[in-house]
Amino acid sequence: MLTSKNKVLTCIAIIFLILLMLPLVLVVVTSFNTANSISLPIQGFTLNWYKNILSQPDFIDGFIASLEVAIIASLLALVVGVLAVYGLTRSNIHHTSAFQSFFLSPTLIPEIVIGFALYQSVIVGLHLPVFIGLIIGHFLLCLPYVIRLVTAGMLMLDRHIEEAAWISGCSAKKTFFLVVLPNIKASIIAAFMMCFINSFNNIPISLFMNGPELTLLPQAIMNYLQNNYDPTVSAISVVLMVFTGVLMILVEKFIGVNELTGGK
Amino acid sequence: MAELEVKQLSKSFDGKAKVLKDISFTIKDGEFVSILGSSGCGKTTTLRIIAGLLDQTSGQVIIDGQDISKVPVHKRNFGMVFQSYALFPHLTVFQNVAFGLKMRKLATNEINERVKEILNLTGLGELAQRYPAELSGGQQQRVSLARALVTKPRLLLMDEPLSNLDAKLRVKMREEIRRLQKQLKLTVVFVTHDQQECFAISDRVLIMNAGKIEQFDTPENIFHHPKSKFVANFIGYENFINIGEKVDERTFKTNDLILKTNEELRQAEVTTIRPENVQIVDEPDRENTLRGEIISSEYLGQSFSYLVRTVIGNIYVEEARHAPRSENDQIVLELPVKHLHVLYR
Repeated sequence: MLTSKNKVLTCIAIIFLILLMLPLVLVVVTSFNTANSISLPIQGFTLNWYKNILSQPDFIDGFIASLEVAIIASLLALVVGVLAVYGLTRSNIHHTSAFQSFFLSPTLIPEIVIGFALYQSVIVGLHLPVFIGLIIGHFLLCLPYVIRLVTAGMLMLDRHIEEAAWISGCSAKKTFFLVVLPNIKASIIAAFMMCFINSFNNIPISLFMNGPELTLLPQAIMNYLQNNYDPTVSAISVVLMVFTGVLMILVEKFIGVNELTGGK
Repeated sequence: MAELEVKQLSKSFDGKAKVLKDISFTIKDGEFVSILGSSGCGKTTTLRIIAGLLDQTSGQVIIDGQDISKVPVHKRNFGMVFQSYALFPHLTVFQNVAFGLKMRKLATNEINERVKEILNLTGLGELAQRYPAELSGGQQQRVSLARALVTKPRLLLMDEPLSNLDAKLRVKMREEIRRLQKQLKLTVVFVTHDQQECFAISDRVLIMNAGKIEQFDTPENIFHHPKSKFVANFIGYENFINIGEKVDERTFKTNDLILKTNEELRQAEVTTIRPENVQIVDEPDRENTLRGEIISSEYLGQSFSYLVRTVIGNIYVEEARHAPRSENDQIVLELPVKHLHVLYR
């Protein structure tokens, strides 16, 4: 039984859903269009643009490079972030909130500034490979997500649980692995997902660090768009959407989306 | 199980104010001792230092003659039950209980046997495969107890273990804890702020106030012979009568009233009596009687409580009666000699 108020709410919700989904639907639709540019209405159905992805080495290489950078940077941020959070939430050090702010500070700096600063110091100054610069940049991008999400997870974990483990004969180090990590697993996986997706999609930081030997996928797509305005871009966008979607489904299948959001 | 000795224990968190001030006590093998006090008195700090969860500023914790002050928590072989239960959320009841045995690297057979045995003893046999989130508060408390007992600890520490349970369950659980303690001959240190609870369960009670021990004695002795004003107040003595002038060893004079007690006055300055021990009597000329006027009354269910104005100040009286006496009534109170206790501090 819908009251009139509920009907209005439902309508508003549907309108917003359409506004959110429409661009995605258009991208999917245009990726199958036979026309040579991204346009509507569609003239015919083809899978050529998907085939064309495979003939673009920039996309293939970019995808692999993006994957590498996203995974390495996310894992690095997880290791540093989880240890930092454990220290911040469990030790008796002073000025905890100052440290907390320090670890979250990358969010305050515009990504483009981080990118430029890294370019100046790491690439130009230290002559390090572009890959190292990218890893550092994406690590900074990821770290605040880990700090935020894992802190939330740690705060929900009663600290007496660790003490109970110690008293049961488990050393502090072992307790971290046997008791703490399994209980903040959900927030760690959530943090990894956020890191991975943000790193994978990032342009502002990566913008400064690419070259003939290494270009990340978003950058490759931008480069391609500058020269060709054809539905290949739609096609690769669809591939990326499916890729992210499959990732989410796999996570849901193995740990359950309920746990990801903190419920049991 | 073992004998615990705490020697001149002090603790300061910031290097200045002392939370514990040089406390010493000994708990005998197989004894159930409660530490009672209001929040902030240092009772939990004491327990956490004994457990090894906190470092003391000075002093020693000694088990069976061996100083364990420097032994890390996980090597002390104690069991502990927390107020929040602190079960491992990611493990089943069985795994929770088996945890400590696994840490001791026992054979799987032995672990299974011992876990089963303790689960049956605590009435948890049916729940072995459940997760903590699927249990009620009382059941979680049992698991917590089973986990603490399965390793056959030298000492069982309990930090307000019953505070999160409802009143009925609390009584049931404390009877069960006492039964297990006697059956397994456990040495127990039990921290609580609930006077009734600790009197019911303990062999001896250690009352703390502001980082010091006020009194360490059997519940009966504490109840009938509180040593200090703090203890008397804490366990429900509400009337405090100043010793004005000493007449002899057991008699004193205050505001022209002569009062007698069975206890030696020595250097004491105050005596006390429980409201329910003050009698309302007819004849005004007996020993230890005085006149008064009822100022207010209150219904307590089993009895009535009156506030009575007398020459030595207001006195609380509790009387079991069907109908209340009315305010402004002139009455005679008797402070029975055997119930008037001398407070030495």
